[in-house]
Parts: sequence; structure tokens; C-alpha cells
Amino acid sequence: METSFLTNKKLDEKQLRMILDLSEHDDPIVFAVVGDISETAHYGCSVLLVTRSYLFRCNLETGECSEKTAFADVEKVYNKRMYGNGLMRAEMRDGSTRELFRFTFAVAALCDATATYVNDIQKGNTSPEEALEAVAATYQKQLSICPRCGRTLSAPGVPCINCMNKGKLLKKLVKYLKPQTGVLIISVILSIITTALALAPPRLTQTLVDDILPNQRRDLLMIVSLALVGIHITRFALGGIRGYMLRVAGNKIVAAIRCEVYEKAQHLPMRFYDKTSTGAVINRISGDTATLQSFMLRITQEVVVQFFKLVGIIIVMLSMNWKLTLLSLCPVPIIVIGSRIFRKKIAPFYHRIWRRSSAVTSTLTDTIPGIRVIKSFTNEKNAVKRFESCVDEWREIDSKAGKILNAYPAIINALITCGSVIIWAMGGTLVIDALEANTVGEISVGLLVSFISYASMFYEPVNFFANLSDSTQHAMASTERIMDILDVEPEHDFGKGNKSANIGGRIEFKNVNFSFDRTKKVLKNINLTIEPGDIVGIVGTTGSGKSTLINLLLRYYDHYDGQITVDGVDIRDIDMEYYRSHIGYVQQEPMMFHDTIYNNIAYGDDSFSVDEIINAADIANAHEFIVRQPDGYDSVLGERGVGLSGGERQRVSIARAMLRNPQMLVFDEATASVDSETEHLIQEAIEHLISGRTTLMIAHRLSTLSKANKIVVVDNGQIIECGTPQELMEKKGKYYRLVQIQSMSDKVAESRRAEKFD
Amino acid sequence: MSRIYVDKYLGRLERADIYRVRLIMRDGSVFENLEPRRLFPFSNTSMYITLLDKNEKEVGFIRNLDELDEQSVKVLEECFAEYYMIPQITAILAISEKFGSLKWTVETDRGVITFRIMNRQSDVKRMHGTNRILFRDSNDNRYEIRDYTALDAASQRKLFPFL
Repeated sequence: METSFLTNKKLDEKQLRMILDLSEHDDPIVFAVVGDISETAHYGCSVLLVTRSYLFRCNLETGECSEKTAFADVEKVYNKRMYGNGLMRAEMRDGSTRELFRFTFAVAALCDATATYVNDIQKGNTSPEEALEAVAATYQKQLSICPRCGRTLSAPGVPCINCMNKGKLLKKLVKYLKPQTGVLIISVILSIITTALALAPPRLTQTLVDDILPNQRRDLLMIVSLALVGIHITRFALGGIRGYMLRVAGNKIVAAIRCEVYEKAQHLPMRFYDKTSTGAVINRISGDTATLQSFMLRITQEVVVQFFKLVGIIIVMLSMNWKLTLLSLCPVPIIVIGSRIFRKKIAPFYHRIWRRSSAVTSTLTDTIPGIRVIKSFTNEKNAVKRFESCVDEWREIDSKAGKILNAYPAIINALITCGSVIIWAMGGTLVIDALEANTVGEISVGLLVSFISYASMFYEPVNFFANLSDSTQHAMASTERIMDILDVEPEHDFGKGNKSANIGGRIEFKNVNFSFDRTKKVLKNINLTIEPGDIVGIVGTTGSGKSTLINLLLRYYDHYDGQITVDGVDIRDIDMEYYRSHIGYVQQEPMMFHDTIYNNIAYGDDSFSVDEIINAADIANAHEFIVRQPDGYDSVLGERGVGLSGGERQRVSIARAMLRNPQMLVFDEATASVDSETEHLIQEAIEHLISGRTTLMIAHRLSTLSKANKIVVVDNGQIIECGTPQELMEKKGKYYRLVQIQSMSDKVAESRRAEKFD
Repeated sequence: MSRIYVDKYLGRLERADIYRVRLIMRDGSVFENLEPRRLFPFSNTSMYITLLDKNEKEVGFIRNLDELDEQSVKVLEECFAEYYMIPQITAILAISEKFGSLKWTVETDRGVITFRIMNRQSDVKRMHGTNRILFRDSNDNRYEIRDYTALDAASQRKLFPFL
């Protein structure tokens, strides 16, 4: 059956028919929001059905439908987000309120789109067709989120990497092995030779015991000894060469993965870093890649080698005596089954131990850097107690796991040893029988001795294969974590190559809505126009969305609704590198790299002359303190003695921005954490910098905004006031109040200072 | 600004709609459409409740449900039952892992549901020193196990690695 309406979930035949039956011919259902809770907030399949002029809810299990709500009767539809669920409600024309639909956050975005759809049609803002297009876009977006795991896909409809099976994962790893194919093949051949060589000595021992020693053949003894020496030397020499080759190949593999992950990490969207701590990313680049390398070598090498060893030994043993061979194979099933049981038992412990030990680590990383706070609040005892309880929990569970961890090898080793005793006993009986009968029996003393050496060699590959899946799982976890980075779609650069826009041009925010996750909207309906050359001050309380506004403009986040244009071009359609390189961004706490001051200003660009850099430092008021450093521009930051103060670092970062001659400037509270005198210096530097450039400044201190010709007041994710400072002062709104408060506190501060100096 | 501590001597609550209440003070003043919210939705559900107006400004404050009359307590509890959807997991039916994310099928007080956990470390949290476990799924929906020791043995076994 063909679906004639939009839906966010695949419906079965029966549900589809049910909905189509409800659809009227002249006003068909155009989209359906399939939710997962009923109106009483119990799990169930409830669906919101929307046509061009009305909507209603239908329970797909019982077939019950709510009454139809015509858009014409509605004043406004809105979504109330509660805790863990939300309500779509309608304010009706007659003043009453109607509950339309109840949903979990899984479909919150669709419900928001529905509300906009209804409101737009009802108010006549747009035609139903246009409104429907907007809804379709939201559906498209939902599809570009994996319906199974909620992860954003690189493009709508592609398979989700998260839900992909592990076979495909292995295929990805093969890519890294390919360049090393030659080395790997040589190494496998070498290892087959060494394995074969390893199988020879016991055979020679047999000749030694049975033939040479009893018959006192000194000449042969010499030859056999020399042969044995030759075999051992060749074996270990080949082993050494092979080890070296593998190391080199392995290093190439790990270097390749590491560099690729690192390169990828540079292009990950900010969204990824919001969710994943930088520490975790560092871990993946350094730790997980190493695990992966050893695993890949293990799979390609050891598996082959151990397999040959296993087969070789069995063949040799069978050729010697099949009865004894079968006897010595007896413990094998026990070992294989035993290790399976063991792994199943131990796996949950590993997870738990890991949880507990990471709790210990996180307590550490929380408290040690915060030692000043702990000391100042004399909270040492509590900190110790907390740490002790974490360590205790870890110790307890690790000790429990220790029981299993040690019991298993003990049992297995006992079995293997007992197995060889049985061979001694059984084989020994056969040997004695033959000696008593004074005939040549099927087993000689030498054969028994060499057989036992083979039997003990035999358990090595058995153990290897029994534990193979354990190390596989370990490596798979690492692979997942690495692929997690490699396969996250990088920052979208749809406009690659589009370098024509004038970044200094007019900036427009058009109906911009944004939320980090799906629970709370951070920016609501932002409309803002910034003319070229404008100096815009953005004020508002912390958490009001000022920085988010800037983050969107810098393209740290691209998944907002609405549009931001520069010079009439959507910023998402401009080449990312080109776009960002024309924006100078000065942060509140600028990051300095462990390098010379000179390199910190040039920051990776060799095209600047020394004069240009000194000039930039001069304009940024940084030159004056750099000349005071004994090592001048060569001073390495972060090294003994060379720590710059907050204000100095700020000026270096302004020089950095200055140097690139950007067309747009963004200051995110550049003067928030410095004293008034330094603020003045920075202020001066900023004023040098902004001449003629479009500038956006976030500021707590309104004094910073003295040059601004436009003020935007952001509150609770919305722009509540916008205009010239004079206009806003006359309006006596929020900005006016902020100015009043600050000038008052400034006066107080000043009078206090005056008192002190009197 | 002084906080209005609402108790039974000062006023009472009536249900306004599905999640909102009306505060009727003894002196006759009425506050319409207040949204009650728990300030400690996890650690203490019966104390410290705030009443917010349309702009999310606090209008009233309830220190303890005990300080209200019976009818008002009932009203609040009904509102909270609608507002807070934190399904209580009563049994764990299956946990399967695929590519790092976990698929949980559980029985809750609101029916059976399947959800995904993206990060086994940060999205399944046992409250330190208690038997309580909190879950956050890939859509930011919440679930809870009050006391995992009260679950059946099979569920507890499945839960073992997450404790």
C-alpha cells in the first residue's frame, strides 16, 4: 500500500489502512506524527493526524479517535515541555484550552513543526503548501537521524554507522592493513617455517633416546646435536627478523590510524565535543589506536601461525601413535568449554570493575585540580572519605573478580598437567609391556618422551583459540571508539569553493531557532540585521544565549532552523575555511599554545613578515610587555617564569586576530576577567582593531560598549531590545535598567576607592 | 524579595488544568495558572516545591507537603503525576549491545518500552551509596529503578555490569 502522507515511523499494513480509512477525500491527511505514549502517558502507539484544515489524535491499538480540532477554531497551538514528556495544547478562540497530543521527546521536533504549521495556516502567514514544505523538511531531518539509535546521519537515508554490523567494521580495518600486505605475507611464511622447525626437535629426541644413546653412536650424536643447534639458531633468527618486520609494519599502521583520527578530530563539529569530553578523544587517539594495532597483527599473524602449529602437531602425533593422540586430546573440549564459561562469567565483572575504577579516576580529576577550593572550605576530610568509598567499591568488586580470574587458570593448568601424567602412565605401561615381552612394541621410550613434548606444545594453540574472542571483543570496543570519531560526519562544508561572499557585508539572522539537544530551545526566533561597519554590543544575563548567538555566526553549530546570511549569502553555503579566516574571534580566556610568543601571534601562518607581527603586537598594546621579557618574542609561553597574565594573553590574542586583517570581528567578553587599567589597554587595542570593520561584542561591562552604535539585549534566548544606545536609554527598558545598575555600582566602587586613597 | 511560603494557614491549591494549579490565599487573593515543580525531583519528591507563573517566576514556595491541607496535597500529586514522566522500571527483559549503543527492553509501570542508551557510562547512573539507578536514553527521556535489589533475579543479573 502506498503511503500518501508523511510519517516518522514505518507503519504496518493494518495501521496504514486504519489511517487511510480516516482520511477524507477532499481534505486528506497530509502528515502523521507517530508517538509512543497515550494521553494518559502509558506506552502505546498514539498518532497525531493532520490535514490541511484540522487535526486529531488516534490510538492505533484501540482505534479510538479524539474529536477533530479545526484550525479555524484555534487561537494558538503550543507545546508544553514537561519532564520526560510534552503536551501539545491549543488555545481555542472561545478561550478554552484543549489537549491535542501527548508525546515523549522522541518526536518533540515534529510536534514543534506541527504547532508552527497550524499557527501559520491559521494566521494566514503562509499557504498550507508552504507550511507543509516546512513540516516535510522536519520529517527529512528526522530521517537524517537514525530512527533506531537517534544518532545524526551524514546524509538523510544512509545506513547508520552506529547500527552497522561488526563484519563491516572489520572491512574498514582491512583498509589499514592493505599497504602492509607484502610484509604480512613474508612474515606469515617466515612463521610457518619457524613453526615447522619448532616441530623437529622432539622428533630428533626420539632418535637420540631410542637409537643413538643405547647403541653408543658418538658420530651420530655429534651430527644430531649440531642439527639441533642449527635448527634452534635458524628458528630464533627467523623469529627475530619476523618480529622486527611486524614491528615496522605495525608502527606504520598505528601511525596511519592515529594521524587519520587526529586529522578527523580537527574537523569534528563542536556538537561532538559538547557530548564527548576532550579527554576521551585524546584517549582514543593515543590508547585505542595501540590496542587496534596489536589486534590487527594478532589476527593476521597469530591466527595463521597457531592454526599451522595446531594442525602440524596433531598430524605428527597421529603419525606417532593414534591411541595416545586421542588420549591427549581428551582435555581439549573441557578447556574450550571451560574458557567459554569463564569468559561469560568474567565479562560483567570487567564492565563493573571498569565503572568503579573510572569512578576513582574521576574523583581524582575532580578534586586534585580543585585542591584550592577543598582547602579553603576545609573539606579535606570529606574528600578523603568520598575517595575512600570509591576505592573501597572498586576493591570489593575487583577482589571478587580475582577469585574467578585465578581459579580458571589454576583449574586448566591442573587439567593439562594431569593429562600429561595420564600419557606417562598409559604410554609407560605400553613401553614396559614391550620391554617385558622383549619385543619391539608399538611404543618405544624415545617415542614416549618426544610424544610428551608434542602434547605439551599442543596446548598453546588450543589456549590461543579459546581466548581469541576475548581479545577480539577488547579490540572491537577500541575499534568502535575510533570509528566513532572517524565516521562522525565532519562539519558540513556544503559551500566548499564558494569564496565570493563579502564577509564584511550585511549580516542577517532570519527566524533563527536553535537548541543543543531536543529538550530546551536556547535561541528563539532571532531576527537581527547588522549593517557593514556596525559595532554591535550584545548584552544580557549569563545563560541568556549571547554566546550561542556568536557560536552560530562562527558556524560552530549548523543545525539551527532559519537562516543566517552575510552579504545575502547563507553562511552555510560559504566555504568554511574562507569564511572563518575572515572573522577575527577573541575569546574570554584565550588559549595560548606551548610555543614562542612570536609563533603564538603568527599561529601557523608563515606568510607574515616579522615587521607585520611586531606591528600587530604594537597595535594590540602587546608589544610593550613583550619587550620587557628577557627573551622578547622568543619567550616560550608556559615555560619556567613565562606565564602571561590574563590581560597580557588577551592582548596577544587580539594581536593574533589583528594580524589576519579580518573583515568581521567578534569579541566574547574580552575584558571580563581583567582589572580596569588593563581593561583600558585592551579597550584601546580593540578600538585600533575595529575601525571600519563589522564588529560584534559580547560584554558584561557596559563601559566596553562605549563605541557601539547598536545594542542588542538578549534574554532567555530572545532578542528583547534592539537599537542605538540612545534609543534604548529613552525606551527605559532592560538596557536602561542595566546601565542604571552598573553606573550605580561603578559610583560605589569609585567612592570606595576614593575613601581608601584619602 | 521575600518568598511566600505557602502552607495550609496561608492558602490552598486547586487544579487549574492538566499540570497547573490555582493558588487561593486566605486573604482572598488568587494566583492563576501556576506551575508546580519539584526542586529535588530525584532526591526528595515531597519537599521543596516551587510554584512558577507563566514567565517562570516564583510566586509561591512549599517547604513540605505536610504543611498543606489534604486536598491541596492531592492536587499537587495529581499534577506531578502528569508532569513528571519518569517511568519506573519493574523488570529488565533484554539488553543487547550493538556497536557501542545498548538497546534495552524493559517493563515499566507505564508498559513495555524499548529504548537506546548511547553511553553506558554516563547514561546509566547509580546514585552514589544507594540502590537507585537513573537512566537517560538517546532521546533524553528518563527512566528510573528505585531499588535494584527489589527486581527479580534475572533482571538483576542483566543489570550487574552497570552497577
